Amino acid sequence: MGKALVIGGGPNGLAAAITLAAKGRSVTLLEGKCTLGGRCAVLDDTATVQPWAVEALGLDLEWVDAAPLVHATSTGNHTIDHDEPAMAAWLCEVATFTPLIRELSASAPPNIRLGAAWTQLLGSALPMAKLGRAKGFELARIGPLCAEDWLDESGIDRSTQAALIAPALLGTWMGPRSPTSALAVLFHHALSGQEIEGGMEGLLNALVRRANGAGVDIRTEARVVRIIVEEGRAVGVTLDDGAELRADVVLSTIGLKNTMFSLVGHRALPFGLDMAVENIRSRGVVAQWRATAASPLFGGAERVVVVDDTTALERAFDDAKHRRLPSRPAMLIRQRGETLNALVFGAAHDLDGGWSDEARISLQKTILDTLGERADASLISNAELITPVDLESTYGLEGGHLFHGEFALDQFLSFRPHPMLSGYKSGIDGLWLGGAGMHPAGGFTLGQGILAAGQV
Amino acid sequence: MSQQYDAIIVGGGHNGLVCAAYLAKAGRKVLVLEKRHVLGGAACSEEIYPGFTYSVCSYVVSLLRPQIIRDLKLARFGLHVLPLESTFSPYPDGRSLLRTANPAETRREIAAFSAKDADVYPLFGKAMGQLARFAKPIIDEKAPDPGSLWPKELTRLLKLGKRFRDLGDDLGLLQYKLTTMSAVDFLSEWFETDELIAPMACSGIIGTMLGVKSPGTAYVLLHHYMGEIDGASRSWGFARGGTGAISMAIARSAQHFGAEIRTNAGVQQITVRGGEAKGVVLEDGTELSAKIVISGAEPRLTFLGLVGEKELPSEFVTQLKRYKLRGSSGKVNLALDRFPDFSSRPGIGMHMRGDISIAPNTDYLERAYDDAKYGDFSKKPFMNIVFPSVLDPDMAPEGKHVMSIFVQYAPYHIKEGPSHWPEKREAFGDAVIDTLSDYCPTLKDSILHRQVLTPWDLEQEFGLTEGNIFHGELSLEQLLFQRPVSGWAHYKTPIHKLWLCGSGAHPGGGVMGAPGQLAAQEILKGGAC
Amino acid sequence: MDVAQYVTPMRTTPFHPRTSQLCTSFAWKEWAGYAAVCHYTPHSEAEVFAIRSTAGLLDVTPLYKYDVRGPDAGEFLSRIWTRDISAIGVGRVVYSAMCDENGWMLDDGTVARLGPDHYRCTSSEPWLGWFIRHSRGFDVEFEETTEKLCGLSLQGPRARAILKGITEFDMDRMRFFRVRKTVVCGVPAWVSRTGYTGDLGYEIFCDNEHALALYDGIMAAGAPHGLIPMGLDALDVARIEAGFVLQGIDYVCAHQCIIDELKSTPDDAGLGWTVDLDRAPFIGQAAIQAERKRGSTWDLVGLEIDWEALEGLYQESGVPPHLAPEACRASVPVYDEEGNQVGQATSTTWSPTTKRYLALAQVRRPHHLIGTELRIEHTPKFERQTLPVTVVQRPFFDPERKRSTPGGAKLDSAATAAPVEAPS
Repeated sequence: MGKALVIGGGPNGLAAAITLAAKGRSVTLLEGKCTLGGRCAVLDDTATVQPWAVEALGLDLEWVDAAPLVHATSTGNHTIDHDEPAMAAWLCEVATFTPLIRELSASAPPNIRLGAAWTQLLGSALPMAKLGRAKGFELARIGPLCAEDWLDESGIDRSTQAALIAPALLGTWMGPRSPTSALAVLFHHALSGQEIEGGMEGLLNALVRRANGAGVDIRTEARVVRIIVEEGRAVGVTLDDGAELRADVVLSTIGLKNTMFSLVGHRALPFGLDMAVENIRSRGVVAQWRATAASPLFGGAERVVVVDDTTALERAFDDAKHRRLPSRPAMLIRQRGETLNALVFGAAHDLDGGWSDEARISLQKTILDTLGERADASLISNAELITPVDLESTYGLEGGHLFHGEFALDQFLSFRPHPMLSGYKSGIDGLWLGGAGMHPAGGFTLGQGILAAGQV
Repeated sequence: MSQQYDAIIVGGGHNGLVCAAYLAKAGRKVLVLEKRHVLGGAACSEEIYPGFTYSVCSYVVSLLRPQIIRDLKLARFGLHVLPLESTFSPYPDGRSLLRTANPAETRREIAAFSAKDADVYPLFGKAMGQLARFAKPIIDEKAPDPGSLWPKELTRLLKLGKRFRDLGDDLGLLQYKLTTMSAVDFLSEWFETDELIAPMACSGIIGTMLGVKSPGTAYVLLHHYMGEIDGASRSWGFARGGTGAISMAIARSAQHFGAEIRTNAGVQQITVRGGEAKGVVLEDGTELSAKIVISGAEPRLTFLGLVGEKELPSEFVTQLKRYKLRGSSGKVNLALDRFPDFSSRPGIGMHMRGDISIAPNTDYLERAYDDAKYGDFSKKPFMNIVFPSVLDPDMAPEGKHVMSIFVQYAPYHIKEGPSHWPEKREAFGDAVIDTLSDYCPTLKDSILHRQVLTPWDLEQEFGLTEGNIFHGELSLEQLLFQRPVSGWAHYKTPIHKLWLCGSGAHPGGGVMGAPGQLAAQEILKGGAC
Repeated sequence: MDVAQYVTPMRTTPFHPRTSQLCTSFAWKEWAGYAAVCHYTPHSEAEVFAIRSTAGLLDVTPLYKYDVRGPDAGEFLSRIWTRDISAIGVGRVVYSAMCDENGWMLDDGTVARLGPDHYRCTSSEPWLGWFIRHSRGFDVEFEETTEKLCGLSLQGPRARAILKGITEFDMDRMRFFRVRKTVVCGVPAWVSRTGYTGDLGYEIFCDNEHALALYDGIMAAGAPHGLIPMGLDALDVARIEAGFVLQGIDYVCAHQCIIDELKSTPDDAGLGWTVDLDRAPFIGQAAIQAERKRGSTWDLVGLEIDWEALEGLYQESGVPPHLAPEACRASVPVYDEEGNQVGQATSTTWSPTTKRYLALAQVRRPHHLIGTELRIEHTPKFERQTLPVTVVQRPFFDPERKRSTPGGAKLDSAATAAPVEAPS
């Protein structure tokens, strides 16, 4: 077994490195920054991490039940009650699709290009067939729906609906009234389950421990500036200090455009592939906001969702759509002790006029005002806003998009991120893709790196 | 008791008439019942203002199936379609874009905005033309049923699968993208000019309560490339005498084959006994019986209005109640005493012989949608305009003109409640005229008469439930084997001997006639009457 | 009502004030959106004779023209065209084909290297969008000069003599497929020794503003030499005599073909010689490589129709042999001896120069071999008949004067070494 290079020290990079090392390869992991973890510093929600992934990696960690979700509205705060009849019925409906969705997320998607064998296509249809005719038709009906329309059918009030929909929209460029947003909501909830003890930090520590244990050579502050392609084959990388590393396999877990355009370069790409990569949509609609609270807000709740109702959520999306500052952003807050980490929905990456100081100050104020209606904002200090543009520059998230590519029907399953790049192949021999932009989509699953490494 | 008729058709719209003509042609005794005084339903022409003929609702024709024209000998019965020759898009800044059948000229027009887009435009047209060839048979056949295990259905599905595979990787992917993406996202993969994307994208939202950036709106773009007039590959046309002339030609054909047609004969109820349709009761109390009843009316109106909930399986009722109608458009018809010049291109040139899109950019369209999303009509709406009198001078007195303005968005569900539309009607009309005045400043002074139709009016007057011009949203989950509801896509209904033949059935709305024809085919094939 | 309002006038070239005066036949047609003359007098024959005996002047302004500049221009163009453009020297022009990713022909045209980082392409279809689409990662800039530059094609044995008196550059030193920036009739212009007639000829491009000065100057200088204006019909006959294919007629741009059967590879279109295969990747390379391994199905060949059989056919029908004075662009079936269709003639013409009845045809291999006897459909009256044809060498007409340069070979190095954009 030969040498493998993994680009990117985020969760998928670590997972890919562990998987490759377990297969007997000598693995070097290259991270440009001085710390590992990548997006882990932004996302603090481990509920969609898939148990199969944790098991496949052999991670040493504990699962805990997710903390209750507090729904903060301008008319009052309350805990989301999963036993409320309409909610329970809806969760029940979601549960009927959970096995299928989890199964789809635990394996590489079928190749739908012409070269693919019929048997493979039929094989991939099997999990669908298991659903049965009625459920299959139901999925075909729900998929294209707007989230709001779907949840309206269940009788859940539109305020609670917003709390259920908001987390699923972070990975999309949709509002609750966009068709196919129902599918995003279905996937998000079907993939959600228990959380990892210690949250994202706990997961990251376990990944690093396991990587070290597996003999992965982890190098931080080792920024890759070029993937060396010789005669159509990736044979190694060049680092920013000029050093060249050679390997049999290069697996990139960083952004797709960055990998294909900056590291490989247009000229080495097969014809047509550049268009495919160019057209991958990753329009960020989320900013991160961090602060310290002198004493716990929302009664010390760990998980808080700040949104009034689906109309407010839709308006937050409208703000992003029209590239203006959100006037009433929806927020998903994680409160750990005195620190608050919020994902702010409705902040466009391509804000009109750019993310100037005025824009940042204005959004900071809006966030505080929004919180102030629901909690004692005077307790908050050290607030820090990380705009989608900052997310891009700090974590390499293209377009500031948290998942390297929007969840959309045409960027989904075999189509994720594009059929030409499906199956974790880059179109260049020896170069594999295992970042968040790959299958599976729908949440932070930890699956991409493992599945990509599995295909190598 | 012996039945008076083989089939009674509820609604004298173009689909009901097509269905009647086919059944009559096959020797069946058919009666068509129309509530209004004129035939055609939403495809009608009326002289609302003396001397001026309006195509009151539907105003252009493109997908009227050529086999219907041949089978029903419509040319003999007065159908004459004049092709629309161009698509014109004026912009508020005084620029404009004219796309015609002349490729070199169109290229120059687009090149004024982007040289790249100018070169890509014909390629886009060609790719879409190829996809249209794939999609066209779908509207000429009953919907495929993916859940069926019948060998015949499976063969049809496999054929469809094979056709899809034959498209090849690139076109296959394009077809998939077309079905799933938003019109703007889809077009943005090809074009960079917003001024070009906007008028192209708006064909994806006509009649739907979605925006050009909503996923699933791209596929309607295909309609532009599927268009055929008299079987020739052309995109849009305009019937001489207005859209009502199409309905009248079909009606004459139906009568020629022996169908009986009554106007001012609104159906109050479809009589159902023992789960079986027996006939209808008219508004004046007359009872009529037939072997089968066929409804050209919108499905929810048919079942919940004319049949009654208690006769129906509850699951079916649930599905019907979910059926999305949500009308989103209105119509303004104007009688003009002279031609209103567009300031960006004065005169009655080539650009007035086609359709005119008021869709200056995609943000404009999305803002128009946003207004509707929160329960109001668009302050600056998207508009699609034709001047029928330029192509057919008989539509207006000499030197005068009629102007047909399709307006979106005018949501049925305004925040005050739909029944408050009459109070907002004139304000809506004013918003349309004010917006248009940005493009043709002299318009206001030349108006002799104005007819404003809100979605409320469309519902009250034409039976278009919630004002939806397509008898139900053409969204993905309401198409093909799911139209109108899953399991009942083959014109049959849970009520024995009650059939559907309107736009609420596959393949959906537009002046195609296909639902009427396919329903007749299914009815005759099964020997239902 | 003003009737003119309904009319969108066709575009005219900057030479229109002159050509419209001279075109007494009123025979115009559309060429890339421009009005172009078919023939100036009621018959095009005199114009064909001018090309072969004196000289003819053709307005070629509607050709699509693109200036490509930048350090990567050569490398970029090598990716677009089948010829290795980066290998050509400054001051040279090459004729090349252009393919799509699947190796299907898109267009053919010329690429001139005007400076170290400056090229000019001409083509029959617009390609700016295609260039931009494939230019990612290249340091290159495009300028479409179609509407900025006007062009004249001066073709015929007296072309050099005509230009000699009015061109600053010594035309005796300009070799075949070379380009120079010089001054013609006091007008700064690009002169290239190229053309589409297979004869001695030059193409001259200048800014639109100088169009009439250039036209008048050339016509005045040409008068003693028998120069006449010529239209597209004469060009069509001449290009068939020269064996040149025409996009849209002898093969069709793949982008306009709905099905693959209508598309052609360079080998199918007889342009295999323009493909430099073993080099850095270019669009269509892999597909052409694969085809070369397999062998192409079609070839473009020259056909000569048996004149005596033709006369016989007309004799039988009782009508005198009559052939149209212009080339025929209708596609005509070609059969083998057993009567199976093996191809189609795409351009057919009576050649006044060689006194032969000629055609360009796409035929299935192995019917492409020189000397193969085939039959072509011909309809003297109303019934379809066939005539014997033979596959013959292309070009049908190839005069020595096309390539020869009076100055001789020693001038070659001097001509290429000198900068093209000479300081004025």
